Amino acid sequence: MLNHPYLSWIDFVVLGAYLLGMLGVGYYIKLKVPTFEEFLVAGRSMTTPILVCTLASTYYGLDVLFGTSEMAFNNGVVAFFGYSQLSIAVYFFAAFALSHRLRDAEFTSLPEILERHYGPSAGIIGGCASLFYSLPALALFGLGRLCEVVFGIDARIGALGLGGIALVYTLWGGLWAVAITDTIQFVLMCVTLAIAIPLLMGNIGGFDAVAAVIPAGHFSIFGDMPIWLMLAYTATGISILVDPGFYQRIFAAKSARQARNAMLLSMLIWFAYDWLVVAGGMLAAAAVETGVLSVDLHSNDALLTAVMYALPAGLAGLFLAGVLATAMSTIDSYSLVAGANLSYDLYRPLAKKQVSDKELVRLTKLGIVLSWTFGYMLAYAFDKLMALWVFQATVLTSTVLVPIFVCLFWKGKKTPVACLLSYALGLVSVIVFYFTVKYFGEPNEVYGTYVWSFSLWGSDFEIWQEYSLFFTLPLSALGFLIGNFFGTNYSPPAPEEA
Amino acid sequence: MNGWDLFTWINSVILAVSAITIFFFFLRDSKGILGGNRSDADAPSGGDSDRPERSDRS
Repeated sequence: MLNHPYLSWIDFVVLGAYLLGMLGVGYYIKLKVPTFEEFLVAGRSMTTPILVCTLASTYYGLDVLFGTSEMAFNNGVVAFFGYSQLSIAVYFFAAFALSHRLRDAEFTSLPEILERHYGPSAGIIGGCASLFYSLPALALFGLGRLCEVVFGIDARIGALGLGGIALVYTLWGGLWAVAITDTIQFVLMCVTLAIAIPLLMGNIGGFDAVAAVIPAGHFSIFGDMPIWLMLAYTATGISILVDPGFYQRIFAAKSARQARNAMLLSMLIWFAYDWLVVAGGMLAAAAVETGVLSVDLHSNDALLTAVMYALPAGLAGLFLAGVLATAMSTIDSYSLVAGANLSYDLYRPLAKKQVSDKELVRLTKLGIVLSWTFGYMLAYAFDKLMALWVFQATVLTSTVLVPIFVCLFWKGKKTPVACLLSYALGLVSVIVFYFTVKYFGEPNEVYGTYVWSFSLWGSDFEIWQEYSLFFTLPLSALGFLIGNFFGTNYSPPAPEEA
Repeated sequence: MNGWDLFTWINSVILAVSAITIFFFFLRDSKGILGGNRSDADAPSGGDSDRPERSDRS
């Protein structure tokens, strides 16, 4: 391992110090989280800077670092303009329309919104959807693969070891530990990328040198990406509108204003980060074309290999720590959310009994361990993990988006039957859509998806798996409209006398 | 300098400066967190809290 072609012993010392530092922070915070509200939503006292760090690092995992750079490596700037940035309108909407609605109502979790408005059954089903989405399978898989590619360690052992560190500090300190480690991880991932890409650019000879060796089409803003696919990528950004981790951070904010400002600042960070990842992918492609890097280099590993080649000893270790940070910040955040789904959103209403603060913290810790373990098992049970993650996100969005938005934006009638029918139609339509496109469609190797091509009334049509939300969301809304004719608004029972 | 080079440099500066500035403000805000007096509203510490118990709403 220490004979790595691009890493020296200094880099391994830096990596070791980073991992020990994460554990140290978690242990320190362990002594300071006495209540469930402290453990899960940090006592609702997070200010803008820490919110920016935890938002930015949680949403930017290895999928962005490797997935987006791979797209840039193969297709050029369309990875930035046609893929990464189309969701920006959704983020603006989240910042301005959701922050105060979510923060002011003092919710604790996403399923609790559904429980308050539609009753316990709706909350429990919403909790299951949130739990399914939050299992950290993809991040654990990515971490393992990283260990395999960079350090030559078996992927399962690497994911177990490094993912285990994220698990331990999350158990020790809850959201405070997650947010403070996220902050350190945020600085690492941003600063190292900001140093690495200009250095790589200098090594390669800038974009003039890139333009000389890669196809001209790589500089076309939207490339040859189909318009419907662009809209589908925009639609994937919609998942943030029901992302339980995003909601948790708004609930944890000191005020709605701080949450909104954090979101706006995060957008600036994401913009710059996205471009540097895309630039890194294109520079790596040029490095391969000019023989600087091996022609056998897999496009998925291109950014990592190119950056390690460009950075001097010490900084390469810091960059790797930043890469580990992108995965660990996702694992810790979603393990915590999933743990709380099990304790607060599923056990509490199902047990139908008083649950003390102390018991909730204990059960949430147990839930974190269970969800982490299940995520780990899932990570090595599927071949196409990215497709599984897209499916997880589609299930959550198609089931809970409509009922949640009705709660937040509609003061009129909304019945429990409407919510349940919306869930049912959303979920069934996702499953039917996915299996139909996979059964009738053909795999598309360029975009790593399935496409179903057919002719109807003399016209040719193509349905991509990414188009799912175009079908499932209207059906979920239709279910809500029909169900809303039945029953009355949910009335929570009066609190029992103390 | 190529326009894409310039765009890359601008984004590098934005990312590095934003991250360091935000970290500076985090350190300013976190004196309470790391100093142990994060939340005066949550004065009771230790495993057992005096807060009311949570129950399901059914």
